[in-house]
Amino acid sequence: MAYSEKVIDHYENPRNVGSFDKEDKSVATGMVGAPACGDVMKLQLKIDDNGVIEDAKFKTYGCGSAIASSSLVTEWVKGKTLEEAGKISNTEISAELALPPVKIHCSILAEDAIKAAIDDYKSKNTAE
Amino acid sequence: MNYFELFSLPALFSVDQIRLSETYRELQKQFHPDKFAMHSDSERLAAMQKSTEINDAYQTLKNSCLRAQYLLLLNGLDIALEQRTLQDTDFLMQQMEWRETIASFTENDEDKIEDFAGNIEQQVQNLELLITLQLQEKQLEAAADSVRKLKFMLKLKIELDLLEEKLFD
Repeated sequence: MAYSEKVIDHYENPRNVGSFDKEDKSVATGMVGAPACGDVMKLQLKIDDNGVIEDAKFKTYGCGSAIASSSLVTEWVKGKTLEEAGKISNTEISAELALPPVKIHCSILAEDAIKAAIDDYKSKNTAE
Repeated sequence: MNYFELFSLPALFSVDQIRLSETYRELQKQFHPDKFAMHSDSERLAAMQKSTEINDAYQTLKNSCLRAQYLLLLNGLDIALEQRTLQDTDFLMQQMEWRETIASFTENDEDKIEDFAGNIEQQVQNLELLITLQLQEKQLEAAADSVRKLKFMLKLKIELDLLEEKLFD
């Protein structure tokens, strides 16, 4: 199966690989996995005082499409509020990367990672 | 006739692998296309279909993940083609740590790799035992969740095998 140029670009030059301290209250961590292929994805968002995502990092063990999906998402979420980031959908991700149908689950994984991170941030910052 | 019935095995998660292979060979012999060379077209076709079914059944029953999925299906829960994500943070953090460990191994770590592989194998066995119990108790959703976790463990084993091949072959 041929990867699109955008997937190859993100795969060869992944943006924002790394980690933040997950105990930090300004850090939202989303951990998700796809049982179908065993891919594991960690997405972390650093939120400023105004609720805007100032930085994002990811670590993904999986295929090129999963790595590209998470890499792309870290670029997209920067500068967005949590609410805006929560609206990013897997169809936008798969369209941008021209993912074939069998790789749609990689973009679902990336969308769910954003949602899981937002949930993590909310539960961290309401349970005082 | 379901796959277990085809192989005259009880519909349980733990399967006698020796009996499974023996029955497979017997059935394959019985329905081998060569034996039907002189039969009518429709009989040949029927034998070929049976032979394919025997193969599918064998592949399903041999593999613990596929077998568990098939048992869930027989109980009305189809998870084979689902695309949902798993969000068990502790489990996934552990998966990520193990992947990082595998990535850090070098050709000087033969002993460490062996210990690590032993630990993973133990985890797989624990999970399979849990699936046995959950299926016995008809806790289908819980069993399905364990099967999803088993898929990650088997992926981990594949990654480990690939690494060993790369380092030592």
